[in-house]
Amino acid sequence: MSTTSGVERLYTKGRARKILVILSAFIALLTTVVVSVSLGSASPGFMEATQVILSRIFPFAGIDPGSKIAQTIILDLRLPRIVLAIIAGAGLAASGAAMQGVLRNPLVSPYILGISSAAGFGAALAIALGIGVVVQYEGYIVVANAFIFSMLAMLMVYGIARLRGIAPESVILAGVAVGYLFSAMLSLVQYIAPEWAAVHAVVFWLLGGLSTAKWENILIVLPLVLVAIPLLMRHSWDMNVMSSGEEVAMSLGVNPRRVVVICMVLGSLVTASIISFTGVIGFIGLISPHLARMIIGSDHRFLLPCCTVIGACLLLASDTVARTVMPPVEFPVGIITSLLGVPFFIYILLSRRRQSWG
Amino acid sequence: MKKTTAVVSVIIIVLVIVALAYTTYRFYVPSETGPQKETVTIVDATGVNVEVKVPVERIVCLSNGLTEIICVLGGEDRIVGRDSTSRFPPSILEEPVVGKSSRNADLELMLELEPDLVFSDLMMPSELREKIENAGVPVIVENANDPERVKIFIQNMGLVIGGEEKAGEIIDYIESYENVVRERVGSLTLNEKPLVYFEWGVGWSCGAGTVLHENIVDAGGINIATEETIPYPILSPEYVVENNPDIILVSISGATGELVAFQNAKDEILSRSGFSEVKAVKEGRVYIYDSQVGLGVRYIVGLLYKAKCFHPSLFEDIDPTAIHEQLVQEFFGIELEGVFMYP
Repeated sequence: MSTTSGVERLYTKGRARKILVILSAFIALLTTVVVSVSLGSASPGFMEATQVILSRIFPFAGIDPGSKIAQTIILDLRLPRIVLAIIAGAGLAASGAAMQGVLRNPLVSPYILGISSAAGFGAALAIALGIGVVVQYEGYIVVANAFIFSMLAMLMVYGIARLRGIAPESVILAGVAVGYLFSAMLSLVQYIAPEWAAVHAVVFWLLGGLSTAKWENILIVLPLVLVAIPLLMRHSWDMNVMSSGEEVAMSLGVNPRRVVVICMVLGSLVTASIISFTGVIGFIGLISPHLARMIIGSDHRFLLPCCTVIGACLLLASDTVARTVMPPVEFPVGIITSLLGVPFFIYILLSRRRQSWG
Repeated sequence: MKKTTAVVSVIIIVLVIVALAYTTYRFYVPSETGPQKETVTIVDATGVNVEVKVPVERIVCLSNGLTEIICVLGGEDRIVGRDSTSRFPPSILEEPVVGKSSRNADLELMLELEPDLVFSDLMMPSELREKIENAGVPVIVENANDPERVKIFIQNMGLVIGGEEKAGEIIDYIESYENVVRERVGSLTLNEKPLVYFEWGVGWSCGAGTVLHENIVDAGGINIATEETIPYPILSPEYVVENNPDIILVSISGATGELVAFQNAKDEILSRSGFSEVKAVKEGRVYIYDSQVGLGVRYIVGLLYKAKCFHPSLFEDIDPTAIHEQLVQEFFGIELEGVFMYP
């Protein structure tokens, strides 16, 4: 009797602590948002930003909406970028965590599984062979192509893995192979494409960036991410069970193959839709799940939400640094993500004794 | 029987030897007894003294701006190989391509063409230059984007391929229009000059010290990236919006003269988040030009176009497109086709 309640108490305590961790991560994200909206190459700072945003939220409160330029900078430039950073960070991190979870492998990320290379290839193809030979082109064809090819990569990975029987290692091997295939084809396009297209493909698609953020694009990505992340979270218990092995999962009524397929499809869908607009941002999807796991443990019910918030926070912080470190010049966000993420990762790795895997 | 075979064999062998000796003699003698070539020394854009035996008969040119200059000076029939960006004048398309650009030109393809001289822009890797030179072919590296270097190159080419008179004519032509621009914008005060945001490639602008920046200044504009020390910085969109430029100027490359390329480039600028508040967009002063009219002989067309965009009232009498047509007709002897500036 007393032992049961002891275990229960321990469980409740652990649960409360984990919820607290997620809450603090969320508060960190909110703080980053406030900092990010107040910083930039242009002059509007915290006060103007607050003023502009409050006047928009409470249109009848009679708050002075600020100058037209301040409004444009806050509402059309900083906010969409912040929102896209949050969506992209959250989506990539959640996909990474789910993929690592179902495939039971810490090295998995959408990048490893070839989805990013495929998107890059699709984009490069559209840029190089796109309608009219122009440097600045209608972006949506490129986006659509990136999306189609990443879905194609996912189908290939799935097809190959299915022929071998969907075991985690066959999915990863198929992913790595498909990834190399698309990387090779991307290099080929870069090699045979006209100089300007190659430059564009390399610089934008391979470095990735959020500077082209627009509300219109967000309206396309946001619904997908908003639907997919809760769907992934619904399978967090299955992921927990699967970590004990396939037999255990089956004996507990979980069909591991079905879970693998669902999570892989959702993860690819989210990744593809995000990187279609941002270019390849690789690191977030790999590192956020590890950070979350080291902080909160490997119970996917807490890991997934925590990882989502950490991913959003990390990408937003990186992008804010990227656009403010040397104003008015912008840095590629990929550089900053690694420069910020890796030391943080090493710190967490060294300061936690807990074994995250196994 | 055996004897006959031996005799026939000997005769055949002798004939073969004679034939070989004769061929060798035929191919060997002309270069020995041909006219002694004169050597001129050219200092190229990298400061290297390049010794060239003139007249040069076989040229490989790996830069579109330089190709145009060589063609203007009447050297088109001496060009035996080009890079893929050398597409003007259109008749040059018949010559074989030895690489996408000077950055990755194929050494074997080049040497196979037995050139006397290779021209390249600054993108050529120094190892490649070394390899070509080691094969006994001199390399001249020149910067067709820099108006001053263009004039020097035209003069040098007058020496290398002949046509010094023509070289003088072209330089006079360019300078006459440079003077027109200088006279009209030279006396303008800072307040009378428009703020300009310039963009090319994937969104690069141009910092102080770049030729592109000098171009904007020469045309009577103020570059909003003047303070930047990075040559080609990507400016934060909010910086552009806050600076509220009067003019947005975009250089596109790879266009093939179709209007749609320019329209797309303009639409892309107009559709950017927040740009609807920028003065240049509000007042319809977003201008797109083909990078071809920013380099080589035709750089002057680009300069006039920029000056007219910046100061329409001062350049009312100047029609850059008409001048472009005239230049191409006069110096290339062909009719100009396609769009190069929009609007």
